[in-house]
Amino acid sequence: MKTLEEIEQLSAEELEQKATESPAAVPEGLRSRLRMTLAAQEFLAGEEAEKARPVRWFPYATLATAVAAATLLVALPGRGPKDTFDDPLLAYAEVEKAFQTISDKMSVGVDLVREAGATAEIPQNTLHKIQIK
Amino acid sequence: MTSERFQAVYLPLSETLWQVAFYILEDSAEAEDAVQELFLKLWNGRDALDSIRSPKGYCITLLRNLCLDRIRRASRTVIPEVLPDPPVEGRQDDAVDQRERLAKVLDAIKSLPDRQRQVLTLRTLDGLSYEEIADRTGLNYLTLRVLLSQARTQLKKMI
Amino acid sequence: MKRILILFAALLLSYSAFAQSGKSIYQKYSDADQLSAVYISPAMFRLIGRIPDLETGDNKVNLTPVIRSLTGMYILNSENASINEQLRSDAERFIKNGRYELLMEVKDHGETVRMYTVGSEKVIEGFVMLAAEPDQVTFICLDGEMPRDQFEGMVAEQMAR
Repeated sequence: MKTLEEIEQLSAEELEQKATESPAAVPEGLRSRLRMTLAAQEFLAGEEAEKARPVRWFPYATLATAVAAATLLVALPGRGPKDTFDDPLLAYAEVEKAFQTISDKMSVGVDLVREAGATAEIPQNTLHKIQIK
Repeated sequence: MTSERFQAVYLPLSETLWQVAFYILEDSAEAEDAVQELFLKLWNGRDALDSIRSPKGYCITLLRNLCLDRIRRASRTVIPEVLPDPPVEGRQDDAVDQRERLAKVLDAIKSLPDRQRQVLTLRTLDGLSYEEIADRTGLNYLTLRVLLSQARTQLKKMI
Repeated sequence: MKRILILFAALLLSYSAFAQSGKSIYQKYSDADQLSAVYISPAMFRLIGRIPDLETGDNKVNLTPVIRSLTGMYILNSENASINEQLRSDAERFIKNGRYELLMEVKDHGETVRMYTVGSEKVIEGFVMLAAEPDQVTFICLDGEMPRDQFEGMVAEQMAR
């Protein structure tokens, strides 16, 4: 039976030795849970720091109102088509998707040019400017 | 000490440390709790850790004391060798609040969808740039921005 | 998935002189069956520019300066065989009237993709991609202002990945 006193008197090396003599099974995923704990701590620390600073960004409530107003403006007759998204983040995601599509197709073009006899046409001045290696 | 270095030096000790905690506390969940407490303490004080020559010895010593404190707190029948400091009113409440908030955030992190949790951890704990995260996860820039925003929103609800 | 987008960028004010303005084409086709349409307005791009943390451009993948310079985006993606031909010809007329210059043409696996830009020597004001497959037409039109060398740098970066 271990007593508090006994434990207190053990050195770190001795403790380690005794603990690992007949080692108990370490629960799985310990390290990942520890990482989560530290992430939680960092998140909280970040939030406290934000609170301490004056608010730098556009408060979301105001942002939402602005989006609603902008949507209304755009939807007025004669003003043009209605925005497909209400949420700037979703709109942003869509823009990025478009860029991805464009970039994929450009890459196809470049690959084809690199292989001799390609069926891609990239005007000489463009090729020169983008300096395909 | 940087996050990267901290994790490289201290995380690998976690198994041994758990075994030490288990040896003292004789309970699996308690042992993990104690190790978690230790790591939080180390993490919060990581600026001073560069001068520690023997991380393992240091950790075991700290951990031992943490475990013994736990036992003393939990047990009312054991007469403490040394009387604990009388708790200071204000400090105690803050500490409890802080622990509760952390526990809530941690629960929230555990219940996040995998990709959100992964992106959040890489950004918050590891401090990686968006490009580095994109490289590691294969996600594109905007997807990971959206994931991160969703994760943060979830967690903010908890505090 | 190869998509063909029909360019309805004529919505731009600067192109309203044309008989078939982009806005009218977009509004004409955007409700069609088997066609998906996305429009992002200048107002929405301004909001995008204000999304928190967008400031931290800490990576080479940085699309932020590009996106900040955009004022409008139109995407039409049609799989409706009965309207594809008309859409394509509307788009091509728009491109021709708008004096877009061919940036690149790629023919790959039955799909023809053409990309165009419009603007001055120093500044790009618009970008169009028109991709056509037997059953699909895709059109992406971006309006905005960007220094031409920045655009070329971005293209080079994308290509280098």
